[in-house]
Amino acid sequence: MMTSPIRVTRPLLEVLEVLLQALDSNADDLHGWAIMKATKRSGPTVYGVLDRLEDLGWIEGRWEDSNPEPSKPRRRFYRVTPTGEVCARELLRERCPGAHQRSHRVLHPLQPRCPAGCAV
Amino acid sequence: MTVEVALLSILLGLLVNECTDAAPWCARKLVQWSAFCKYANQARAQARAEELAALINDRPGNLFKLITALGFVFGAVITATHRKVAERKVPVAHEVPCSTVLDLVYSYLEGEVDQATYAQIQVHLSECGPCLREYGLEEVVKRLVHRHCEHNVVPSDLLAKVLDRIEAIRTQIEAVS
Repeated sequence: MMTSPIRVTRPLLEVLEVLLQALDSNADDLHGWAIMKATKRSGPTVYGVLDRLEDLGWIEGRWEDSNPEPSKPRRRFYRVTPTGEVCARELLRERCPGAHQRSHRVLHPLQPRCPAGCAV
Repeated sequence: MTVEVALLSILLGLLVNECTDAAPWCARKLVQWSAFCKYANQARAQARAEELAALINDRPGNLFKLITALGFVFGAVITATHRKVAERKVPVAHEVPCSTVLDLVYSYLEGEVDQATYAQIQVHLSECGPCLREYGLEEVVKRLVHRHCEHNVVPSDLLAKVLDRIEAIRTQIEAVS
């Protein structure tokens, strides 16, 4: 069984799930605001998780060349790394067993998907 | 009267418009400040400041931009406070290390150290909780022994016991630091 070197919290699982879903559906990488919207979590919470995952090498960030809207600041997009993918899937299987069967349902149903039973 | 009301409403409208225009700017500035407040690592702070400014840009609604930014500021202040508190908990670096003081404290109590060493140990004891506790305990033991056994010889193993105890504490302190 994989031992996770980080503090695993509900928001962390949700962020991983959202990023894995983007990977699975070959969607574009997600930027901070998209992750906030998808997880319905506050900015500091999401960025706390992103910091931890980035330090761990589970995700990587990539700057866009320039914002499509001229003169706007460029955004940073996140995707799961190959190592991160293996670890994240394992972690989600362990903590939220129901999550993967329904992983095509992007964005909303995080709440019912992780019933109180998935000890976080 | 009607002219005044009309003027006032125009001015008020302009003012509100100005405020809502200023909100995204404020939000961007706040969120950038929060990045520098939150991250001790300058490179990361710089990157996050730019990234969060873009995030505020993505977030729809002028007022919501401001609320989101305030959320980041709040989070950053909490993180920074935690960091400051953690930094303060780092043990004080003494001029004389604890191990030396504990080696000498017995001689210090006996008045067998020179004046300079005496002063150094005194300074150390005044700023070091663990050493002071140990010193206070030993001093009380010694005073008791003195008072009750003024004419008797101090039990031969007392000195050894006290020195053993000091040695044990010294090892503990070294293990911690």
